[in-house]
Amino acid sequence: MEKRITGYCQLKNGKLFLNGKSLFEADIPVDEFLQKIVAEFEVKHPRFGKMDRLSKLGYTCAEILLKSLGNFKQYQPYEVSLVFANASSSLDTDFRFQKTLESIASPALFVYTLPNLVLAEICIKNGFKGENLFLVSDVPEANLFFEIINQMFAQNTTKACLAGWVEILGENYNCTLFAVEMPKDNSENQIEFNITNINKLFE
Amino acid sequence: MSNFNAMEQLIFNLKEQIIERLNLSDTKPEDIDSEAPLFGDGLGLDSIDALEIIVLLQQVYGIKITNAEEGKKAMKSVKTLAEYITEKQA
Repeated sequence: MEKRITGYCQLKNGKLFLNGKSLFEADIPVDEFLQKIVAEFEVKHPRFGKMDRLSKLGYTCAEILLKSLGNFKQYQPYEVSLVFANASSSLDTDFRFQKTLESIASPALFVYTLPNLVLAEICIKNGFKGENLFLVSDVPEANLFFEIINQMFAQNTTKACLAGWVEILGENYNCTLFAVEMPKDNSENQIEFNITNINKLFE
Repeated sequence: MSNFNAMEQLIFNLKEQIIERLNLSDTKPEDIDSEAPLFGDGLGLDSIDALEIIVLLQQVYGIKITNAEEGKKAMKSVKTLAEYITEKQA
């Protein structure tokens, strides 16, 4: 069986695309945009309001993608790995936390001053316990995703991987996530797992 | 204003402040039972929320909790929190 990209989801510039199809569009601020999507696509989380904006963005995109991939539930907790990356790390939250230092530092903001918290939110919600990695680079590096995901699968523990770019700084945001699996049969949404196709997802 | 009304007002204010501070966006003041536990089964708050409430007490009411046991008792419910504030401000 070969590794294939079995689904992808993008939240960018007020638009939501799932497997290349436009599902939602609204020219509104990112906070409002995410709230509307959470309500519309029923991906509520009891702690959603408490998450920072990076986690809200990544969590929402991941949940919409995972809902479309019902077969992700077949994997054991240690078989699902995550590889995310962005350019601004947790800077969006760091700035908000910095403002609270003028009076008393906010503990709730402090806990989100690391970018990999978005991975934790997704893993806790879905019970994933596999490898996870958060990288920081200027632009999405398709070859890096390709190498790391191949390495994870080569270790024989990973059977599925959720990967992609989750970037937010102020009103500039872009979340593009994709799933990699070794499916037994080919469905219409699957595409070959290679550097060219990963690059296309990030366009 | 009678003591009863002052206490009721303080409880209402605390509920609003907790909702805002802890980003409980789907909760309204009337949804919070004044005597229900803030942590665990009641409002379901966690340890980070406890720290936020300590910051709230310091910023809004000028009260510093320095004794852990005292803080634990005060943060049992919104009502005990209001009683604690009233006692400290007396």
